Amino acid sequence: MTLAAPAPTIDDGITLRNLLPFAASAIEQAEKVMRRIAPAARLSLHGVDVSLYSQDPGYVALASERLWQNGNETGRREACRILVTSTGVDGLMTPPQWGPEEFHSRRFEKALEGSPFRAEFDHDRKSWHIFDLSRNIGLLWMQSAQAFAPWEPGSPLRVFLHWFYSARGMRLTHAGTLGRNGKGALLIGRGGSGKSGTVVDGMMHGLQSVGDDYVLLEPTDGFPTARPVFRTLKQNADGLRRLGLLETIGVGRKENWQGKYEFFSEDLGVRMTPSLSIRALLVPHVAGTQHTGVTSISQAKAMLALAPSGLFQMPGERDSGVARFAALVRSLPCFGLALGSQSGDASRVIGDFLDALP
Amino acid sequence: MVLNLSGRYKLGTDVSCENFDGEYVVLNLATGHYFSVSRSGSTLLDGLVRGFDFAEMIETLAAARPAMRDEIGAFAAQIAGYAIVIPDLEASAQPLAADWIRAAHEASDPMLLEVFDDIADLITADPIHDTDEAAGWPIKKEA
Repeated sequence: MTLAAPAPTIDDGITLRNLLPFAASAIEQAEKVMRRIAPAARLSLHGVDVSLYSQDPGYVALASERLWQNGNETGRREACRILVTSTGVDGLMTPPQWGPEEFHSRRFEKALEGSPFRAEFDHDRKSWHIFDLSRNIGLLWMQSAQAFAPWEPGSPLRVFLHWFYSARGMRLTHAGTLGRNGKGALLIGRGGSGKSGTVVDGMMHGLQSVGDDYVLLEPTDGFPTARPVFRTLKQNADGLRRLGLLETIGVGRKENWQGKYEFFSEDLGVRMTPSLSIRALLVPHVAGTQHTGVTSISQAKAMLALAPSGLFQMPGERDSGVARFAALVRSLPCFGLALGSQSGDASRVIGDFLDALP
Repeated sequence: MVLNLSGRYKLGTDVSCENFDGEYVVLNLATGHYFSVSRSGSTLLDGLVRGFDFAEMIETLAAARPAMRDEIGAFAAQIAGYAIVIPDLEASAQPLAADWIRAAHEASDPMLLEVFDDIADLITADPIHDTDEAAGWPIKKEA
């Protein structure tokens, strides 16, 4: 006869063996707290009304300001409750740490597969994101107020929204967007490939956009639909200088963790559009030429530009992500965008390109 | 691991492979490595995971382009080294399929595997135990 080792307790740290009961008990605690207090904000996002519970007015202001909200949206809507809290607030203890077991993100993902729970442990800040997909309850549990990851201000609640939308066949996608008359293209590729600058330049020259970094992709009949999730746009000082915006956008703002300035489309005097019908994938690169050009590329090249960052910048959902990104690439024409140096040229070329798409 | 001419293989654990018009994009969802595979390499990889006889495939590919014979060794070592394929002890040899032979005859490009490790560098370190505490993840501790 063999005796099973006793399951580790949370006091010993979290391991793959006690991850599920820990997630369940943490969500239970969060729900108890949310029954006691009133939501600090109600956020109207695509398909979901998020009640945000937090005693940190800074985080509430951040989420209210930076998430793209559309109060006029009709159709089926779900409700979601998210508690953002930290040690000692709301009666919660210090978030438990990862135990002695080796941490392996893929095994962590697999341990939660098939359960209603999704989770992420932020090893630098020793904080947890936990989400219950069956009841749409989320918990961001930090060491102290504002002890969130440096990328959180640019895309608040991103991790929860990733899990929520993935479970419904949609996907937060690492891409910029440009469109005209409702027809759009996704700009995909690694950081530094020129996505964000091209989006900002396009918006300044009359093109539409639903975002420059992360957008929500929804498979719909015919072409996929891209929607805004975050209001923030980003550019470093060089980019702002090239766009002629350094003296306006760059004044009075601090650079973020990437050395970029965060601003809103309204700072450019335009608004993001509520949706774009995506008709093509564009993979930009800085060509070093004067003029911008568009050429056809293979689907394999587009997949290499789209999938890796979208899969690995987000916790979990990697298998479904591969399938969705591959289906997207197969459904759309793929092009390389050789970005020239002449101001406004890329926007003119992209506008003409979009007009010619079916 | 080295690929054996008489061995049978399957895709490695956590390896995801997508075929785009005969060109494979391979992603290792555990390590973060991802790969671009040339058309001829994709044909060989496709044949390996379908259980076709390795030696027969080499002969067929080399008949279409003799230089392929020299390229296959390095390519096979790479896909084995990155655990894109692993031994399948339960599979039995399958005869070459007509569609595979046709693809092999059309595969005239060099047999290449392009490796991308920009993301793997960030995610393969155990962020809890392998990390320099002062610098934080993904800075590895000095050995």
